Amino acid sequence: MTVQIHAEPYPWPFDGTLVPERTALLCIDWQTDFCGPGGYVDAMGYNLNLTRAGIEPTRRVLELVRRVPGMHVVHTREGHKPDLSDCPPNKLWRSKQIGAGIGDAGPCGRILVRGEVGWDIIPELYPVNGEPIIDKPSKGAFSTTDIDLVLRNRGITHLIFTGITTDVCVHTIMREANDLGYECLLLKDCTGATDYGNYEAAVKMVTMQGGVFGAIADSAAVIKALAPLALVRSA
Amino acid sequence: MTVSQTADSRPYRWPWHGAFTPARTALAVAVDGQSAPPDATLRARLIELVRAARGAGVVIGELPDHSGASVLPHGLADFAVTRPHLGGFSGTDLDGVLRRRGITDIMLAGFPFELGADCTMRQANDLGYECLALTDCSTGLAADTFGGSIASIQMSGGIFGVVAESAAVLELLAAYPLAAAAAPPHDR
Repeated sequence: MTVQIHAEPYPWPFDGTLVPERTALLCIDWQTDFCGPGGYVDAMGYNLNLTRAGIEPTRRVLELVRRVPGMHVVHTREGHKPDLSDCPPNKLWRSKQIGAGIGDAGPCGRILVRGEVGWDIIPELYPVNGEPIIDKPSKGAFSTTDIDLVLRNRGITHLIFTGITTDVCVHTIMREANDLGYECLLLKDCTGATDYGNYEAAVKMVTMQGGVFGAIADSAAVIKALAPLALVRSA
Repeated sequence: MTVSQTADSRPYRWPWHGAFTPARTALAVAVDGQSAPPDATLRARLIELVRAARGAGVVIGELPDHSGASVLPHGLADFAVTRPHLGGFSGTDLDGVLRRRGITDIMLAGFPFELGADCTMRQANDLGYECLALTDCSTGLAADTFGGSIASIQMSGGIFGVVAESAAVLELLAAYPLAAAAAPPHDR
């Protein structure tokens, strides 16, 4: 049986059929700090509806993927050590300039600090046992964490992206993964940015030059392609 | 002679630390084949900026892809790192090349910007480098994607650094007339 997702600019994956054992659903930075009241993005004054828009579609995909035998789910979470020793000085300075200083006290605890309430993943998309969580002190993940090793150890070569924010952490990780040879798919209704125009540009950018960073699809296309695999197990 | 100065850039004056120092600054040009080459006017603007920067002691780097395509005249770059992928730090020694020269701040131009330059800026920012995107010394694959790249940099107070036009950088460089003589020789 061929499993292929209707995607742009090519049916995904490029190498014919989706193999669950080699594919991970990547859930990037679904943290209160990026989409919840009182978090970092809220403190900067951005419209939370934009970063929350992808929660429900992502939840639907996540629940289905968890029923597909062999398929992986990997989460990332951005945050810093309590002493901020892993926060580049210009990043710390910038956050204070805009009035949402990393490490400063907020309604959800210290902003972007590991262990705080605002730093953790929202309940709707919280990891379950067996799903690795990659804690990163950066927008990207591959240069500052062991994510590449975690993916390789599980034989993962294909990544389906959900998360926030589209143009920052999601795009940075997708670009890194693409450089390393991972076959990437971005789910455009399972992501959001702090500015809608930047979201649109980031989604389009993936499809340039025949798919320079991979391909894009929506949650319905993924659900349609994966549903038969999940049913096999429940039958 | 120590001069503390910054460039007129968005969303904050660059560099963040307020002490632009040519010898710890690189100007890097990323070229991805012939997908979005500069026209004559844009290329002339870039070369003028590169000559001024190099004269002040800024280290000039080229980041070509496998095609080897270059937009700088031969001999104007202090180093070249060929990118096997899009990001300048992916599968290369770029981090070492910059560290050995004491580089902490990077100005980036890209042809097109959205690919090699943008990938490299994101990686550099995560590694703690202080970055500036040269908007009028770069091209875009398309107006909206180029605009998106430039806009995203400025979110959240400058999430990947800043953006500036070459005139602002030229104005900054003009304050360093003695820097060329005072700068240590580069490892060329």
